[in-house]
Amino acid sequence: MNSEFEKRMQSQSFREIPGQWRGEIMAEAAKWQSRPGSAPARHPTLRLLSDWLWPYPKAWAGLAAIWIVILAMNLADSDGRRQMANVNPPPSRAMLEALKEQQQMLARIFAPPAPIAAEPPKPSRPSRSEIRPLRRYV
Amino acid sequence: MSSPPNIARLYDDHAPALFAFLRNLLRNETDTRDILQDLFVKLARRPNLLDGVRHERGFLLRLSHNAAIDLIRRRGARERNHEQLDRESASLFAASADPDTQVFREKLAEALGDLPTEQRAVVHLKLWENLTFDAIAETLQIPLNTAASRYRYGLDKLRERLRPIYDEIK
Repeated sequence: MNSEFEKRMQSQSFREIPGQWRGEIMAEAAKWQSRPGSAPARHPTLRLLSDWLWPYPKAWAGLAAIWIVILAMNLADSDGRRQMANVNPPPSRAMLEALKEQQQMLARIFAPPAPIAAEPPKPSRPSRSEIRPLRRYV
Repeated sequence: MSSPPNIARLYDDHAPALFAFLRNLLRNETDTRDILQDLFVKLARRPNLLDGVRHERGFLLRLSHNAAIDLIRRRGARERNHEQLDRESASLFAASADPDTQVFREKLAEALGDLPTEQRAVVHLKLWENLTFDAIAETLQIPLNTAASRYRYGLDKLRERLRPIYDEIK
């Protein structure tokens, strides 16, 4: 419900649009309306996008420019990587064989040692008490 | 595909309201005319622009508002003085034979001019276009609560500014 104050404001009428504007604006609009191809039928998505972008063209253009720079940097980076890959050719067959040989040698070196055969038990020596009486009688 | 819009019919139906809205937002007769012309040229160039639009007036008010805000941003502070001059020189409301009403209209035009543009837009659409807050939110592409609070703040400022003259002529 509007207050008295709001009603008072609502009752104030605005100045009328200047009469000569109608003719001028209609004439200008008619120029464009009569031009063939001036109103290409666009896809609704494109129209929606245009209406959405229209209020802030500079902001959207700036954002698009940033994305283009990022894309260019990304492409340049992937080109560089590809070039690096081309500079280093694949290893030759001889090199592969040498590498394989080296791996086998390393495997031999670091392989666990073969189990050693058990040592035969040493003959047991006579105890001192057994040896002493012999000395006394000599 | 629908038939091209009748530009003359659109003008007769909506141009007076768009003129008042733009005039209130921009405070400049030349800018108002330029935007109004651009709008109708756009409608002539793109006959499908109104396809699927349920409320012509709301849609045209939205296009006008976007164009006005865009112009205000482009202009920036450099031309604010120009706006000030125009505010004083051309009247927003129709002239009235009643001196009290005339004074009230002049003061109201000044007070509206002192509101921030976004509050002024909401106040205008609510008071002089009789739009609901839902419709205002849709037209200005703002949340419903924002529309309501902008109106409340705007109205409070107007009431404060106009209280002396309003009490006097009531």
